Amino acid sequence: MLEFLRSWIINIVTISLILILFEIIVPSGKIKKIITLVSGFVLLIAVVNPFLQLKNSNFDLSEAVQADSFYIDQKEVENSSKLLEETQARQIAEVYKKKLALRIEEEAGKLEGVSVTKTTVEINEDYNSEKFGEITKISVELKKASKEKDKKTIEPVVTVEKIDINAGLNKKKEKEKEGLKFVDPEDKRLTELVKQNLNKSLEVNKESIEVTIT
Amino acid sequence: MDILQIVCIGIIAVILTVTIRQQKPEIAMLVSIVAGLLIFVLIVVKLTSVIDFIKTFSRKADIDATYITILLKIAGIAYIAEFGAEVCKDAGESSIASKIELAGKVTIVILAVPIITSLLDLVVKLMP
Repeated sequence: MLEFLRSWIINIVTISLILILFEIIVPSGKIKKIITLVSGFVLLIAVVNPFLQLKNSNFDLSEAVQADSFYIDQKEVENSSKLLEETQARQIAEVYKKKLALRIEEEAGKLEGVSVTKTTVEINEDYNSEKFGEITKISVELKKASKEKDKKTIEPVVTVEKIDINAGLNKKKEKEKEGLKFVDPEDKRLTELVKQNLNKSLEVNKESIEVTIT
Repeated sequence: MDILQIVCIGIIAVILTVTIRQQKPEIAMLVSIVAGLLIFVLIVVKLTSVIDFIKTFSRKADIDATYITILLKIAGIAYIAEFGAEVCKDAGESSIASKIELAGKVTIVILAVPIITSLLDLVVKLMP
């Protein structure tokens, strides 16, 4: 019993001396408060620890510290790996989009008399879903080469609707006529061709391809 | 004699900064930072002897080395964070300084978490 008391008191005295030295060394600032708190905890552990030995159950501080720091590290690694995964998926989607746009430009550029001005690709960017990377929408802006304009071709005529002379002027029909727009058959053919090409090469639904010709 | 060196470095740096400040305040700031670093390095070298003393002291008294390592780590973090914060304050960026202090506090608390949990464990084990 006496031996136990002796070692206990020596322990407490040395630890408190070391803590006092520490408080002198530590820079005076806002952090000092926290350091005094932690050193108080350490002193408390040193005071309480020998009682456990009296109860014949051992307590190893270094083991507990290791377990706790391991847990904290594990959590940290988990969080950072999650973040990394997200950024990686985003980067993959970005590169995929760029490559797709390039390929579409190449595909559409094969057609004669047409140059691609702008392509935008929308893909499924939810990396958790199984359909990650699926193309949802493609829009291609085409520009007719200027050569065609120079050629003196017969100017296309607006398709004329059947004129009903007898019928009284139906307001609805008039409105329909106003809404009529001239569609160049060449444009239509080009749009269809581009859509077909993209459909074949990328296996994209034709409905999700949008082609505008200027 | 080291204290003489340190004080001399400090006084020279102060004179330099005071004279330069009117012409070039940015260089004055640099001079003060460099002087701070010099003094810090000189002191840190001295600090090793104190730490060695503490270590031998604890070994003699048969104290668990974990306490000492955690305390030393905390002291090191406090030193580095305080130094960075002081440099930032000198440069007039007190908001960045307070952020550095916050980071120091958080890292110290992370280091202290095992101590707190082990204290709780101890108390629970003591209960009949």
